[in-house]
Amino acid sequence: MKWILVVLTSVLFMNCSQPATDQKVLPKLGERYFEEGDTIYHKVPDFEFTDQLGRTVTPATFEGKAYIVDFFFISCPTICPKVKKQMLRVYNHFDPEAPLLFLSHTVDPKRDTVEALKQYAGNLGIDHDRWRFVTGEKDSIYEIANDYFSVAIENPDAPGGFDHSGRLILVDKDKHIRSFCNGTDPEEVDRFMLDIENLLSSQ
Amino acid sequence: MIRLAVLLIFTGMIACQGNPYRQGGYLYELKCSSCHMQDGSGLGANIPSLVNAGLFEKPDKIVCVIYHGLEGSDSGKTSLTMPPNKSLTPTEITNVINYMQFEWELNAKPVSESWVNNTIQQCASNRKQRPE
Repeated sequence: MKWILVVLTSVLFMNCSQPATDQKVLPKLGERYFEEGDTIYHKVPDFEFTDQLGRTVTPATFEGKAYIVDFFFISCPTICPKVKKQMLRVYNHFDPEAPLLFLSHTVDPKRDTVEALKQYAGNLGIDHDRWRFVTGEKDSIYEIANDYFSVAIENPDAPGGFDHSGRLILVDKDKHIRSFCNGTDPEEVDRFMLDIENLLSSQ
Repeated sequence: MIRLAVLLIFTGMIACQGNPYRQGGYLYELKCSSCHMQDGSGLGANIPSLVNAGLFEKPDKIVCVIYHGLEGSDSGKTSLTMPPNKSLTPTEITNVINYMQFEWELNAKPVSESWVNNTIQQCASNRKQRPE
């Protein structure tokens, strides 16, 4: 009797340790509406910013590629360094040849000049073509932040509170937002990286 | 009976491993870990790593930097600023330094509270001598 129990327990545990391998399709997040029988999904609107090398960054910069978005400021004493550390982990995790770019917006354009962003980015040892650190008009930065985050907030599956300042957001090559996570939580970022892999394998 | 004693001693030894500077660890988490990270690894060249960085070769400098903070422009490498921590007492600074040494630079000697106290006085007077 005892042995049967032991065997049963082991079998149970073996079953449980199998990770789920179902391929899931990432949802297109945000508002949608119907137009002549088609579903129109939310898209990131046009934007124009300046990166750490003084180059203009627009949606065309990311043509044919997915990209990860975050918001920060250099002198941030609270959560930004942790979020940047996780963003750097995501950056280092993926093949430089993968169709995936990175986009960090400063929310402090007054102090975070092109020169300051260049130094900050250089200090992370990243490739300035793969990871853009951008500044611009304060209003347009806040507007685009609202756009990315409104989508993140609308998702009914959104975990926890609405403090969006530490979020990482995944945008696909068609400018639809497909996933996001709390960038201060390494376990959530692990899950987020699986979503990125999922998207890249289906793009 | 002897077996039980041996077992207890072993359990005790295992329980005692780990960083003994509890207050230091708490303060590190509270005051330092947002930027220097829980594991002390920092953020590239923007925020220095504290792990085996030879920081404790000049422990008096560490005391002054913790107490008075550091302007990033002083080093020329980053525009980030380390904020001062003048609300920390010499006891607390002693504990946080010893916590960091235990975690990342075991060869360094623990510092004493009286030495930290003296050092704080000295870095205060050094700063006064600096032309503003």
